[in-house]
Amino acid sequence: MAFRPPRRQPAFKRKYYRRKVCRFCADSSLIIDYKDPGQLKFYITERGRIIPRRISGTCATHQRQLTGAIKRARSIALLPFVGKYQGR
Amino acid sequence: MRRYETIVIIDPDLGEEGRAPLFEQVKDQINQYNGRLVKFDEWGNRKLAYKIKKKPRGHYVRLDYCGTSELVNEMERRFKINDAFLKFMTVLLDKEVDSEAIETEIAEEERKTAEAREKAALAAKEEQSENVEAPEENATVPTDQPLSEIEAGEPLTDEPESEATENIEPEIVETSIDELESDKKE
Repeated sequence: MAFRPPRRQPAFKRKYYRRKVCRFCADSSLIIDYKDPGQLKFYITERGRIIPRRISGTCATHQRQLTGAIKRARSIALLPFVGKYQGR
Repeated sequence: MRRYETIVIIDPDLGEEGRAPLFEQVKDQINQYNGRLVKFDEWGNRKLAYKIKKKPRGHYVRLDYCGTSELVNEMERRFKINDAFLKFMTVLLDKEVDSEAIETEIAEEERKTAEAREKAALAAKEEQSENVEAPEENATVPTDQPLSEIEAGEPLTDEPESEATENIEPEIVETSIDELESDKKE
């Protein structure tokens, strides 16, 4: 029988836990626009996938707008379908 | 009348002379179908996020106009036929358009562009008097303008906040990306 290293104690709660806030609700001057890839790139991973709401903390309304905008930006080659966004 | 916004990517190898007749065609078409062009916005050559027809760059043009669905259909039909148009996308902005409001908006836009031109001309004069390289710089400024306006406006406002969120986020984000990728592998 192989020796199994003892598993790390599952962390109860993150030590640096902080409530995530929807950035677009906090600052109403931010507009979700598909023509602005510099803004949208914060909401896609390095591989180009859309970051889920549970991680980014965006509220449902704005996440819906975001996904729409990202998909539009992809279709006119402002954002990649796959791969990294490389500035402008 | 509805208000639409079309973004077209044009072959960057065509050059200024090759593009001009295409733009004329599009503008004529809008007039033909009783549409009204609100803004003709050239973003200039940009790097594409992925290659289209094996081209890594494209010339972006944004058309903001009012018209009917027939106009859109006809325009898109022509885009498809002509190889110079790499890609296009039309978005509906408004279902109902107030013609008076549009006219005032157009006037506003024209005034703005005129002002921008004056400013550019003034700046050009000053630069010319200062150094010899001025004309070159001038040539690049107008094409960049629309974008730099957008980008310069927003990052400034959200910077402090984005830093704050980024400080906490990376840890969480990284682990979850790993999760996502491993999900994919399995």
